[in-house]
Amino acid sequence: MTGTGMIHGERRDDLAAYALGALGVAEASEVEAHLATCEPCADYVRWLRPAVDLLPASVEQLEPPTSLRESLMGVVRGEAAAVQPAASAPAVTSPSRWRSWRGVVLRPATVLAALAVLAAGALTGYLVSASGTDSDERSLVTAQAARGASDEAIAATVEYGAGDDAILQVARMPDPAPGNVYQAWISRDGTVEPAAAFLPNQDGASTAALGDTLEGADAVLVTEEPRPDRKVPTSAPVLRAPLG
Amino acid sequence: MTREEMQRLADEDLMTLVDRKDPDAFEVFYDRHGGPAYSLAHRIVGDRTLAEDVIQEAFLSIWRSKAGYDRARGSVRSWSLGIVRNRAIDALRRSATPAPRLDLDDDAVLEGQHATELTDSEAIRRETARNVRGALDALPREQSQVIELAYFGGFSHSEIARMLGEPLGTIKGRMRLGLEKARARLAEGMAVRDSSEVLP
Repeated sequence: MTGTGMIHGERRDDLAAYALGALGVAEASEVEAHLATCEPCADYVRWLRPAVDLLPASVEQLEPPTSLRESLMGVVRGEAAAVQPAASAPAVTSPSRWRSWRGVVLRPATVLAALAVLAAGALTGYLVSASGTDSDERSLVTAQAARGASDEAIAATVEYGAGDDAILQVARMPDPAPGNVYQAWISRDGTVEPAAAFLPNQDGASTAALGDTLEGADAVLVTEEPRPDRKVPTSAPVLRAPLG
Repeated sequence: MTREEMQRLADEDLMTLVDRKDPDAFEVFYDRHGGPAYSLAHRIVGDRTLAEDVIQEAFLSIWRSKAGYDRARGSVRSWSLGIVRNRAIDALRRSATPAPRLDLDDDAVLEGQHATELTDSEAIRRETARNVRGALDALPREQSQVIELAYFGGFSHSEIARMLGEPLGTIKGRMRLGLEKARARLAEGMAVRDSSEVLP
């Protein structure tokens, strides 16, 4: 396709289909390559564009539910906090310390890192005990405000089990809403990936396998979800562990 | 920068803050575009819960995007709605939900709500919706049909040709004629400032 200073009728058909997003990938790529060199065709697509852009405005205008906004902003604020921890929330375990621990304690049932626990109320410090025999490996963790969590401190640790898989252990987790589950997420470079879903027992305790994917992770998050197969969180974290 | 100051920013400037992972700026961005985006997603997938999932995925992809917004892609509204449309069409193809109806007769629904229940921005959006629907309703049915199937149904021109049992050239011709007429009507009746009003 070459620019000729005028647009042939058949070419207009292709350009209109392109503007509508109705071409296949290969055809669209071909048109884009042509548009880069043909000003008349590019002008034509620019002229058509407002008609396409206004198509969404033709539909019934609905107000999204406020719960959607709350859910979305809960995730966004959680990720922003994971990437840029607030100055008022001191780091629990420094990246260097966490990494050095990892190098030292890659063995079963050894506490690797303490999780910063999001609980209701003001910032509070408390201890998360190490499990297993490494009772000297205790770390002060910092609680941050989160909606819906119990005033009673939630305890959480990450350990490496058999096969070097990281395991999240929680205690004193409140029951999720009926039908809901807790979902663990690995936060890395501003994105989150689903890990495991879990339900606490009657004592509020549970474990969840995080896999061997903590390399480069900056936080472990836990959210409450309506089903366990979510690809993205739909609610604000109730637990957050800034790992590095 | 305060929230009030952010609310006065142009979309393009607001996106600079969103690209820097400012959650307050993202909230202002969502408040501006979340309604139209949700409406579009609902129109495509035909289900409120699925539309919510689409919006969640689309807006999080914008929040997490490393590339960020590029002014060359058009207005922030068009760019973000393009992302929502693609996500909605993907969701529609993944789900077992039957395709939503493809007519544009939404006026009965709109008229059913009393005007005093609407905010100013909602009222403007709905008035705009009526104007745009007017431009589309004036098209011959066979032209508006292929435009709707392509844009809201996510079908390619060849899929539409098979669906309707028409030659591919006929389908593409209908798309072009319909778009050109709709564009010309917009130029007559609505302010469109970012492009020449004359057919190139």
